[in-house]
Amino acid sequence: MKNQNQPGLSPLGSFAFLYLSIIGVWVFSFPREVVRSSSYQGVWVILFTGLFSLVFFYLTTKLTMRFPRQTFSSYIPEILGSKRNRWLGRLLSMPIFIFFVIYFLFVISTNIRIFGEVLVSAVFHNTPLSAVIIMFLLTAIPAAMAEPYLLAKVNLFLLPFTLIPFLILFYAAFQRGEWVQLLPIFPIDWSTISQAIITVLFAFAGYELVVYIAAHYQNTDKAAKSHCFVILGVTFTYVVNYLSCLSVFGMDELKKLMWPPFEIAKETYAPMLLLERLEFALLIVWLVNVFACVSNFFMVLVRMIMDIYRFPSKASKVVTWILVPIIYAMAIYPKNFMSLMVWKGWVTMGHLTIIGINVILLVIAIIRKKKGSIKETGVEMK
Amino acid sequence: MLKRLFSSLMVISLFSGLLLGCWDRQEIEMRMAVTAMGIDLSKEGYKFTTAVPIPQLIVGGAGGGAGEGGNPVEFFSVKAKNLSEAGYKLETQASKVRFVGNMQVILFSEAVARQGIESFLDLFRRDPEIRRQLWPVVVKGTAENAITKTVTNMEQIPTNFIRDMLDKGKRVETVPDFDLGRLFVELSSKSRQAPLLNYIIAEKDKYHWEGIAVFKRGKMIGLLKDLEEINVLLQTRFGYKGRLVMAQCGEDHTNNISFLPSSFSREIKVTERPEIQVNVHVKGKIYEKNCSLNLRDEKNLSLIEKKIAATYKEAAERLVRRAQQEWKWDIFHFGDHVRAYHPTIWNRDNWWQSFPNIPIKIDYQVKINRIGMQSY
Repeated sequence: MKNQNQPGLSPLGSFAFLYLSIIGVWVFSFPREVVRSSSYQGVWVILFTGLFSLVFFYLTTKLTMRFPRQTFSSYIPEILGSKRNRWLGRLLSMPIFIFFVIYFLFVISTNIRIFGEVLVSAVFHNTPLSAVIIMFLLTAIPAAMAEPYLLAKVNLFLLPFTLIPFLILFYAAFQRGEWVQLLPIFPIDWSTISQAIITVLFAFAGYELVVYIAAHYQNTDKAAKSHCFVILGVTFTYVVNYLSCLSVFGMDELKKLMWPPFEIAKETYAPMLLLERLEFALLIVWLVNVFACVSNFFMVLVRMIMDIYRFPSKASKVVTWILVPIIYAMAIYPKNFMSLMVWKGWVTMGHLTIIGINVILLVIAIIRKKKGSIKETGVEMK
Repeated sequence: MLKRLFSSLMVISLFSGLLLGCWDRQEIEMRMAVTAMGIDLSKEGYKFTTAVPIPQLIVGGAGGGAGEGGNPVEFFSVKAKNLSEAGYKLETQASKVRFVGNMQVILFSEAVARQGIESFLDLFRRDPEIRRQLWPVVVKGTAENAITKTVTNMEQIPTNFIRDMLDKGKRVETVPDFDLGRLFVELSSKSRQAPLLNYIIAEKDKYHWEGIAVFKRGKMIGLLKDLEEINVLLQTRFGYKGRLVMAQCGEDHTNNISFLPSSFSREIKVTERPEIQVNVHVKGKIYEKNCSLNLRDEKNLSLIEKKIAATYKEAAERLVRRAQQEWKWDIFHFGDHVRAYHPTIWNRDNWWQSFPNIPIKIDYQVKINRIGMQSY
């Protein structure tokens, strides 16, 4: 089972891929969403949501570990079908695949649209939204066509840059933050927290991609550890983001801010006037974040469609170009920011459904003793 | 191969063309940077005055710009009902696109401040160009005069004088650090609601920091001028070290000891009733002494420490009395402390109503670290 010579993702590569897929565009509005849903209990909400995600991520990892070197488009029919009637499994798994496709389309288009909204409302007032969206899509196309392990390498390359906002946030909190604004966090109000977890869960969506990318791991056995670090890293990012925004603005002000991390950079005096306005440094880095998230989802979507229909690998270009207008239409569709927020609710629901499906599949696989191995299925890597 | 390279190069150049964001292209020569804005009352509503520096007339070195007698700053005044109308009317007077991203100071005349400044803040929030670091200040008289009539010798652009003065004051902790961002936070937070803006008087050739304008929500309710009281406010609310404090050390009024605080800590205790007890510890050094008191004597030293503490405490009592009786408003942020550390009390009482009757005690403990040389 252990074959280190396969060209595949190292644990660090999978960390970068999944971390950037989760973070995405949500960091921009995250502190506001947390405060809106949970007032001062935000830290607990983030920690418990992280714990919740950790459990389900672990279960999903267990599922992928049962079928090393297999993507979900090949093992889901295997779990649901029987050896004699292979078509039965394919038929039963079709609704699941369609759901995956729709969900991925939603995630990609909401990400692009929200980032477009950030740019148009904060920097480019006169630039049409469609220009931003088209531009973004065009840059994501080469990434979507790329081989999975290559894209993971790109993710790994981009990862260090995404640490820059931490510096700015820490600096801002150090410069302008007040302890008083963070309190009181006790007593813990469980009913608020449990409701808030549902609304905050959207920010942890993205680790579903593991059902595809795990097939390209060098070594599936080691996956659980790096996956734990993914959730820890994401939770830490969100906690830092939330606490620094809250300490600077306080709860009531935070509710009124459209993009709190952006405002926090505005509030901060740049050290030694290196950059007069720090917010653009932040924006550039987050552009990288969103780009990585969108292209990861896009790539997995393309590969998934190709797997389901058993297209040759040359077809990735055609599939990508067919998807571009669909994503564009979906991204441009929401009338305003309010309806965009409704879409975000759907993303949360989709995320919940997908982790639910994964858990059910795991249970079925355990009951039916379905297990894949490299010898049986052959190696999918090229 | 060459064809492939060529086509990919074409695609890249096309992409980068889009990346430039040409819709928002703005020539730097074609825009005028507003550095300050003044707001006054007028019959139509408000009168807005903006100051725009003319880059050609601002000289960095020995150039003769000033010699030509031109004022390096151009002023525009419009009467309007609100800020957006003012912006629109301003466009009709100017040859360039107005840019507010460099605005450093907003001057409210005292009359406007007393009427309420909250209505202006909505646009300041919405416009992403507006810096959250700019200084909102209250000026005596009209803001128009403060912008247009003063010609400072130290700064070519007079309103930059105000900014530099306040920036410096913030650095040495002698003026409240209250920029626009803090004003937003203050007015949003339900437990704060007491902005303190810097109050400035315009003179012929300079500006003069007069004190702190005390606000109740968006309305100015008073002016704090006494330096000792300002000291107490800066210490209890902002945790600043505060300025110089003097204590008499001889029979004569001219024989004084000046004490300069170097470190400072405070501790706020709230009882169930509620009662507020603030313990302040100040450490510092003797800055000036013009009496013959021997400070090497332990007894004399503790006497001076007690005298300085008494000076502080007296000012604190005066300030608490003013806040509770004259303004009936929590300017110390005690309410915020109660909200954070005693949420049950905060939820139980209506803080703003009960504040005037809450017993507040501020006690000072002063320690002199360095007495310096015996020179008198």
